[in-house]
Amino acid sequence: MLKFLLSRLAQTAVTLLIVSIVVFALSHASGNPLYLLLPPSAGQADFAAVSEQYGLDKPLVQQYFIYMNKLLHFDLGRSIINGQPVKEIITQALPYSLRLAGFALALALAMGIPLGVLGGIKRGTRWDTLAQTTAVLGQAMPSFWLGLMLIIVFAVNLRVLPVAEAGGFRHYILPGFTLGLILSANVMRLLRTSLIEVLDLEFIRMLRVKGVPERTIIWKHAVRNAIVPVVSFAGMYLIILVTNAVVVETVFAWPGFGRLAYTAVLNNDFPLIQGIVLIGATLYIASSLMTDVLYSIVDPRIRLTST
Amino acid sequence: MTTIAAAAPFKARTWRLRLWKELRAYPAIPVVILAIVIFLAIFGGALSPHSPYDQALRQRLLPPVGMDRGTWDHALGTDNLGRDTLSRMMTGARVSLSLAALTIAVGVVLGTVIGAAAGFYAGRLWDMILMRLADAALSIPLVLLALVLAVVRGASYWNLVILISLFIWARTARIIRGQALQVCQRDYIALARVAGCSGPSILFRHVIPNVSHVAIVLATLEVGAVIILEASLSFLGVGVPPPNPSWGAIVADGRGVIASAWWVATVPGIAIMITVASFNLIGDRMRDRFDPRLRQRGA
Repeated sequence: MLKFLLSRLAQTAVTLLIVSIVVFALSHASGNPLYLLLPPSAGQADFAAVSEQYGLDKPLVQQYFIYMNKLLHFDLGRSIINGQPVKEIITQALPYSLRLAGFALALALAMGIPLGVLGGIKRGTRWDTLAQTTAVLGQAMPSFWLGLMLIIVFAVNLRVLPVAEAGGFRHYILPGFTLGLILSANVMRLLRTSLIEVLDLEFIRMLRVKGVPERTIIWKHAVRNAIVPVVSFAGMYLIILVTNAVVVETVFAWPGFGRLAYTAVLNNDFPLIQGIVLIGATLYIASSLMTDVLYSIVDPRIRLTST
Repeated sequence: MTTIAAAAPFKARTWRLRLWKELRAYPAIPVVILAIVIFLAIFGGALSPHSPYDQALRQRLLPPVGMDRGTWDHALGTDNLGRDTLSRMMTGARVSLSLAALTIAVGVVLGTVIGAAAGFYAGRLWDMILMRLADAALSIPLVLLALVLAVVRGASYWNLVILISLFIWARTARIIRGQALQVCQRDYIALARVAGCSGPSILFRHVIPNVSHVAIVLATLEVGAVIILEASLSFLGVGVPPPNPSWGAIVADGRGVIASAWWVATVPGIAIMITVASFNLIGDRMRDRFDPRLRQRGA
């Protein structure tokens, strides 16, 4: 276990290093980042001054080390727009996103698990068709479009739910459902297939022979085993959540991490974008490390097969 | 001579028969839908009833046919600038589909070669380096990267192609590597070694051909995801730049007028949904036919 943990940690460190290099390289990909930082009217003297302030007159490798040094001290620079530290802006927005993501995840499980079980045990019936259709449409619908449709129906026409900004519980419903539906389609499909496989196994037949009630067999034995692959895709759900969060938060004007990224782009606020990508990637890598470790505790076979 | 002449039409018929049989294995409705969408992507520009770019402010926000003020001249209505939605969608099909085809071709080919190489040289330094690169590529949220790229390089079709293929190669490489590991256990690989084949020649002549069926399935399953991704990026304004009518961009045009003209955003979204669902359904069937075990890998 210790060996597995150490090797996973080492891998994570290498991945983080590569990410930091990519982000650093991107910030220099446009040529001189000063063209982004300074207004078009800036003169030669301004360029020299700001260049020195940001250490841009030094050689690239040295700049990279300065940048890494700052990173390791959690210094992400300041926003160009209002001079606020990037770290502060991000820590303000992050809780909104996490709460929305948590709500969406709960909703996704609440929709995906029953539908997946229904599709799995009533294979080939109308219930299965219903579950399958939901999943296919859920995966094929672009989240921004679903968001707009929900706004048209519930906010513009029925006027029953609020759409913009964060607030009480009612504010979570539309964006949460938009984010959650895509996830639930994934949960449902995975659970259905794995449940069908589990139900074919010897021990289920054994339980039936023993006369265990069908309900107990399904919920206590079959679903418990079938849910393992669903858990193992937690990393994938994270990707889906982050990717769609930018879009959904933009559609619903949700003051989270995703919309922050969008507005930072509109404002050409380069230090902020850099910080957002770094934090986003770090959070993602850290949580995928965590799921790997948790999963290896649940299912020790993983340790042997992972690279 | 006569035998060859007689055999030719028979051969042609079996060829067609095989294509028919192959197509019959897939659900009919998605196949028909995809045939239409692909036809439109190729010929849509020439067939569209109006210019997708010309603005006609007197005819802005016309509803689709069947509603009040709706006309057959603008069967799916017009947008905020009076541009014909049907024409824009027909032209947009080319933008969305060609981008998906290009990125997947580049990404899957690259990913297959790299993944097969990593699997073939498993445990060596190259394997380590390639797989860590794949991890890193997968751990940067693609949408965020697209936003950064749009700021530093400006949004363009080709930037998008490069960006999305960089993401696809990593996903493909990981799955293909696992597949290649299994292939390398087979006897024929050991025999090829004994026969004195060089490493690269085994890789290209024996390993890669034996994982290519997986690559084809992965490519099909990826199409839907890429179409949605492109649409999302275009919706955010960092995808295919205007006035090119990508489907996502058309939805974005409708966003500002959803309170008064809901159809502008609704119609292209339905097109995206139907197309992606068709690709996914066909991809699923393909996976089940070629390699059912891929399902467990989340492909």
